[in-house]
Amino acid sequence: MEFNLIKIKGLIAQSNLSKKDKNDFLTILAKAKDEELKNIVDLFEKDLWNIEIINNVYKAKKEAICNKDTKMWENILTEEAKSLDTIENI
Amino acid sequence: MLEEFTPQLNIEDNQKKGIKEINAQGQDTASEVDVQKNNELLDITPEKLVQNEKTFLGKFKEKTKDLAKVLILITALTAGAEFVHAQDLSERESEKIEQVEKKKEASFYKLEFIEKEETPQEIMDNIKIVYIQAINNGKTRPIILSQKDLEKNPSLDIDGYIANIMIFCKEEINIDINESDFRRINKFENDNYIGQRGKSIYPYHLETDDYPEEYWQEIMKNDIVQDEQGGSFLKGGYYYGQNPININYLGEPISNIENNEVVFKINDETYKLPIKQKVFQKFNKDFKLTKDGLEFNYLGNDLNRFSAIEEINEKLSAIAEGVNNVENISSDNLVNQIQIVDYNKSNAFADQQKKTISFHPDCINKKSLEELRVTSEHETLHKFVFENGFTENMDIRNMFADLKGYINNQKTCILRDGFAPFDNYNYDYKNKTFFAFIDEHNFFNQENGGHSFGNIYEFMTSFYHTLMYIDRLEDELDDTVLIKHIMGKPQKVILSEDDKVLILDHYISLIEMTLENTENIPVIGKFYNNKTEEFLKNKLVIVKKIKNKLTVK
Repeated sequence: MEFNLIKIKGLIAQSNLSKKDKNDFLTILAKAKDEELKNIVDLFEKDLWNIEIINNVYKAKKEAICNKDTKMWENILTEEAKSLDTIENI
Repeated sequence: MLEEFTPQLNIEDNQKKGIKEINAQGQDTASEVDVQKNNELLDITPEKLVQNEKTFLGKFKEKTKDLAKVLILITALTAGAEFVHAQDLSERESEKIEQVEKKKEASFYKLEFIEKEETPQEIMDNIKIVYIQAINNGKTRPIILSQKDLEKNPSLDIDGYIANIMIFCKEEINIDINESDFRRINKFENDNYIGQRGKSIYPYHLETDDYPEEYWQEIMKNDIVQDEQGGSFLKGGYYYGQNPININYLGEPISNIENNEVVFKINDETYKLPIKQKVFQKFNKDFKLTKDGLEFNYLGNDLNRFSAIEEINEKLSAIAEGVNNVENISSDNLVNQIQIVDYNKSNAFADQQKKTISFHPDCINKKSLEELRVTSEHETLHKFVFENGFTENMDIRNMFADLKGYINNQKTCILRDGFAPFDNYNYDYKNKTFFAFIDEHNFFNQENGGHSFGNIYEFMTSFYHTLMYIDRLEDELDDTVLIKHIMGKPQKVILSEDDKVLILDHYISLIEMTLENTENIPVIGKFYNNKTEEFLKNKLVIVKKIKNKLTVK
């Protein structure tokens, strides 16, 4: 059984994402092995806002990869590192 | 491609100083204009992207460890990877080719050996290797000194400058450079890499023809030592400087001292390694400055190449004009030095602590005179809005969060830090048109510049920039607004009458709030100069007039 994916589906349903974003996001997450989704479940359960954040990250990465945009990819990684640094030091 | 004003980071230093930085989605005292045109297409090999990100986020081991894993998972899923951890061979091959090419280049450093009667044997037995990352012709190049080299008492002369020095010893030792202590290299149990200022360094990062990856794997296998604060370090591993493999590295030197001395000490023994490097040198400009005392200084090994940039005098003059324009509206001397850092990036950035703004030669080369003036103003304004406390003011932060329509978490983050994590990805915020309107790319009709939605620092800088050119406001309201973002295609917006009024309302509220902050600035111990207050009051009158004209129509 894909327990984690089921949990994620429920959490995403409660989020503020548009219907299309909900579908797209769930589709990409469904590509993972269920055990790999444990961290995502924990993150989303902590705060539904995290769903919006990770969905935004996903959309940005998709855009960079689809356009093979090196600069955008670098920006994304920089932004991730900065954000994690901040959270780490709160 | 989206180009934006972004902050430069140096969290570690600011934490030490207890400073919230000027340009916070990050750190440091600085703000940066990223204007790099990277024409190389992204290699979308999933394994490579995942490895790249793992290297980048590998340092996060505490409370964000799981979040870092989630971010890497998202990359893997998006790129279609199945968590293949193998190193990307093609990358390794290209690095090797690059190193062979580098070897073919003329040597960029000289080693002279000095005969001495005695060599401190205990120290010599302890040192494994010294790895110096030097900047020559704008690029990072390694200089490696083995134990055998060191035994011959070398003196090093570099045609360039030092970014970073790593020293690997068998046991603990005291090392300083110019009497500043080296820092310890981080290492955590079971990790196959080391850490420096939070950046993960894998063995392959240090690989050269003479010292393959396996050599560095062995070096990194030394024991781990822990300090009283719970820090975890590689035994005998030390560094000094900033590592150029960090994406945020902008070409900073370890020091501005020409003749450096690395000193090793164990018990009564001392060993000295002299290193000569290039330092900032005055650039003799061939133009009249608009401001007395403003200096141009160049750091690098090829001043002639920099001097040969087309219209160089006009361009430097435009930069000086930008500084002057901001200082004319301020009571303060904000900038007295323009630094040209000859490093292979294309940015401009301001230093919060010093009266300095910096440019990479490529940024000066690519930008027009007008763009350079605007960029220079933007960087100087970063210092201005910070020094006036506009970015730290809670009412202004509150208004920024409200404008973005944020409540709860995001608002809390903005009030506390000046920005919300991952906010540059978020396209779901209010008043996009207003934020885009005040961005330099719109207000000054330039190709690039500004991302005022990103954080309080960029917001107040771009907003104040528009106030400096308030005579453009009416015309700009009649122009289309281009909304750019880290994601998605730019969107053109034609402003309705209601949109225009709303933008003007935001202007009025913000000016009033900034004015209040200005009026509250403590004036103890110095003459009160109300230049800023007068400036804001004057702009408020103008904006109100424009609004009246619109609403009476």
